[in-house]
Amino acid sequence: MREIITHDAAETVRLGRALGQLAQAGDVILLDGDLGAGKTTMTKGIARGLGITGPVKSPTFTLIREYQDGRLPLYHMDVYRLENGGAEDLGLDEYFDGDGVSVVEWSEFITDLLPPTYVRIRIARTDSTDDTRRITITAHGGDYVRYEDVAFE
Amino acid sequence: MRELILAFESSCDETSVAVVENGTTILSNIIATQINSHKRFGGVVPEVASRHHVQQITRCTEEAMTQAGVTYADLTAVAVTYGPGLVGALLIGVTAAKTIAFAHHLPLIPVNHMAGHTYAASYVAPFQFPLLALLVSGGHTELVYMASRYDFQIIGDTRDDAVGEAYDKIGRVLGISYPAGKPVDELAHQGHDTFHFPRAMLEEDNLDFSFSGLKSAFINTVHHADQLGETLSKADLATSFQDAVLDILVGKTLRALKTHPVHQLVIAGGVAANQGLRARMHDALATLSDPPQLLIPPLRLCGDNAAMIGAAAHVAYAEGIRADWTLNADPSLSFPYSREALAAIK
Amino acid sequence: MTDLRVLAIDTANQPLSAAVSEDDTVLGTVTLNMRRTHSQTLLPVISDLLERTATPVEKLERVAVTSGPGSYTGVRIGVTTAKTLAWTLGLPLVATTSLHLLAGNIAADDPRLIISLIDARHENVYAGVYQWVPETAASGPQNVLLPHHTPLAELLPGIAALQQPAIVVGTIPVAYQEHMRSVLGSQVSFADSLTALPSTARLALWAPAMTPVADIHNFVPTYYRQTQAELEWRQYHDDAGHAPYVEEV
Repeated sequence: MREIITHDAAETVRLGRALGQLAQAGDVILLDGDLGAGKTTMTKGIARGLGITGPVKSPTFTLIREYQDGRLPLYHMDVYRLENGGAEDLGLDEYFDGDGVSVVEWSEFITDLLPPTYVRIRIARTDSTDDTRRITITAHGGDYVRYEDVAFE
Repeated sequence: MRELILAFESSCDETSVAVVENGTTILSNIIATQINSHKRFGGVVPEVASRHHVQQITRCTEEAMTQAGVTYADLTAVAVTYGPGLVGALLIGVTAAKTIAFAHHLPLIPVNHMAGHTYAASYVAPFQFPLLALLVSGGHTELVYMASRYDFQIIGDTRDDAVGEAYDKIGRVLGISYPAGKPVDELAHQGHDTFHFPRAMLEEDNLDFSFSGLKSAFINTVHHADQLGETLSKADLATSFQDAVLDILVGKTLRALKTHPVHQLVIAGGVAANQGLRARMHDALATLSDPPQLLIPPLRLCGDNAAMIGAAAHVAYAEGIRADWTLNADPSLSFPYSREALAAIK
Repeated sequence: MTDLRVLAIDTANQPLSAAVSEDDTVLGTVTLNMRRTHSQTLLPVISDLLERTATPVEKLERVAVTSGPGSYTGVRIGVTTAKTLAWTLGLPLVATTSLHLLAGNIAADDPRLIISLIDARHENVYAGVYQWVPETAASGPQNVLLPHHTPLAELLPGIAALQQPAIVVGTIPVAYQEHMRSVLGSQVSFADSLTALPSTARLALWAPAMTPVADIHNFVPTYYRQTQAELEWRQYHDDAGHAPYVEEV
């Protein structure tokens, strides 16, 4: 486990970029945190780390957004609207087993469908300021421990 | 010569089929909405949406043809939304449209859903170019510049959440069930802007939007009050939220009008139904010395419908745009971004 | 019935199959077994097949399709294509399950029970049990156990209770086969992978003897499962007396 404090959105993007540079084909990154914690901001950073230059927007509406212009494809999923079920039918396996990097927001709604190994990034507000975030990176199996070792000051 | 286009739209939770004459006359516009089904789940569940579409698609087509009083032999072409949207939902319209075009030897016109939303406004008045469109819905918040009739360029976009999505998310915090747009709009007319939420990026020299910070500020305010055991006025919260949203939407649109002078301004998409937005934009344009003509589709054409696809398809057809039988749904379909918009993102 | 031209299609699972027949003759069939989007492939295959069998689309007299089970999206592409084509051309539509079609791959003189299986992941299967009966062979083998979705472990005691030799057809993981062998022993044998490819040529030949769908508009895939969202919703809600889920506006 690794804990990092970021002080504003720009710093969260910078951390995301560093994490994205570590990503390999087939990686599954779970992004947990409350509404407004900064999950899409973190994903933007990961996308930049993958060399994706275009806009990265919330995928809530279509549930999955695909980005193909980086060194690996990025599948950005937001299963927020599936709190009451329905994710079983999305064919997530095809993404998880695919040759891109899957970033999943609100993965607690699809715990049954997750692959056995992944890295979980938890973004939590702190008591200090509205913009400060405590970011916890936890590897679950595989060689995901490289994310915990991310070089970030 | 009479041009008749049979148009299909199934990108989200409405199955719609229309017959449009010469791009200007709606002969029929059948819309079967699934909203009562998805309300159960607090939002559109993709698999449920796809299942409803399969059951509705031929019935809606039959009603559209019957109501328009036309036969297949009368048709000029078949048009269909192929993105953006939910892939499973899009596929039903795409599959049905391809099959009908194939069975009756008709050309097939692929239409971008957002081109459809834009062209919904062409039923109000003929387009004059250049034109600026503010497209606002549950999945989109875009400023689109049209130099000519089928040239769409995104000059401003949301950096995070779509505006309709922000309404649904703060609606949830207020205890307002999905879809929250209309109730929040109504509530916003009963309170005062007492919280002065941030207007993100309003002063920045670009045309992009951001609603994530506003959403966070809203949530922080409610959480802080909860911790102190205070109850805040829902009407004041809604008004403060909507005022911030409208300041951002109207402010960025006015900025765009300065850098991109146009003859007409279109507001379209589901959020174009918002009364506050309509009123505020109207007032804002009145302060300009040479304001563009404001075009907002009637309420029925703001939401998803096939008549708007037929209107866009009329122009696409004239431009020679055709699809073959391999046409697939493209859930992430997007207009191209202008050079300036791309530079601003980095 | 003379010169009855049938188009049969199946996209319920990974394979895509289409066939054109005239009476009791198959004029042509195409079966692909690729991980490809059926949406992009189906209509080009149909178009090509009709052209090569000199069958103008206007000459079609019946459309046949599998209504599932299988991949939800795959099934919907086949069903939407078939129902739209039949409806728009005013043709009868006939349908059977993808399990029944698989069972038809076992020779009609094989007296064994036929267990048709489609993998539904996580040790679950869609299952149907069939047997050939000479009197009704024109429309395929007879259904012994209705198609349903079940954990594999719960299916097997029922098969054992039938106490008849059985052959299994379908593309299932090796682990499922081992599980079945361990429970059913010599009662079961397994057909090869070629037998597990759906044959719409056979469906086209069955089609003239099949009863057409009464209401094409309401014809939808047989999913065998409610969506997870609906299952969970029904645990806490009464489904009676609600406003129509879909309404015209």
